[in-house]
Amino acid sequence: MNAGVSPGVYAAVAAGGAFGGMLRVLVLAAWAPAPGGLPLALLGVNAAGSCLIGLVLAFSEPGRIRRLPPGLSVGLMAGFCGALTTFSTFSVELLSLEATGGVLYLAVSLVCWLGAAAIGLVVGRRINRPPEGGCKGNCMNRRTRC
Amino acid sequence: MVELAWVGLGSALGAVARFGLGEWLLRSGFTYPLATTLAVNLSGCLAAGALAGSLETSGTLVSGFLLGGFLGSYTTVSTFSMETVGLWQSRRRVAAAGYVLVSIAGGLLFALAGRMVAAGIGS
Repeated sequence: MNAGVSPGVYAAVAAGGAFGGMLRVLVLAAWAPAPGGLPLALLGVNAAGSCLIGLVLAFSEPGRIRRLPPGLSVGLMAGFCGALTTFSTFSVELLSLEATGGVLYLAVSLVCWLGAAAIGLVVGRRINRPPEGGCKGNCMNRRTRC
Repeated sequence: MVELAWVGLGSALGAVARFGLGEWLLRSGFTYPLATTLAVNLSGCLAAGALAGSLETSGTLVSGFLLGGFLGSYTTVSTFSMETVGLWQSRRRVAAAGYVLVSIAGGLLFALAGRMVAAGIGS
């Protein structure tokens, strides 16, 4: 079973979380919505974090050419991306919108979040392919034949 | 500047709390990963709904630490998106749609419940 994770991994999550959360608060403060407008900066950080987590996941999977160190990958995914994006602020903001704006914001948010995560993952997997022919050598691009 | 430091501290704690809960559930033999994200997002919405109204007037440091920092980072959209895309790609499309529906409807209901509880205590 799971033997537990090292304190170093928790430190990576804490550091990534601190940077992600501070970046989100700065972005939300810089692009506050106009009165009655939709919170588009919130949509932006949530979509950006979803895209980045897809990319990082593609560089964290086994059986591919390049793989990030586990601490870095968890620090980026659970720490930075997890904290850059927020579901609580989204839900509270959604409650405060009037019906038409709320439905529109919800629909656009879902499309952007899921689309961004799918794009990040697909692009990442395209860049970071499995090694061809099971080679163990230097396969840094897809034209390399081993 | 001081406010941003409090946001950073709250965010670090929020991210560690989310990650730690997931690890703890995993070690307890609870291996259904969607449940961690659902649990943090719904509990985070409940707390944010309860605190949003009262904290907006109580100064930016506490609000930055608890709402923007801790709860903002404790809850997550990125993992939710990744999990939904994962379900969709493994052709579990009904599960993906159900996960989205339960997360969104649950988040709204829990935020609303938090707001009502806070209003009840405040009155």
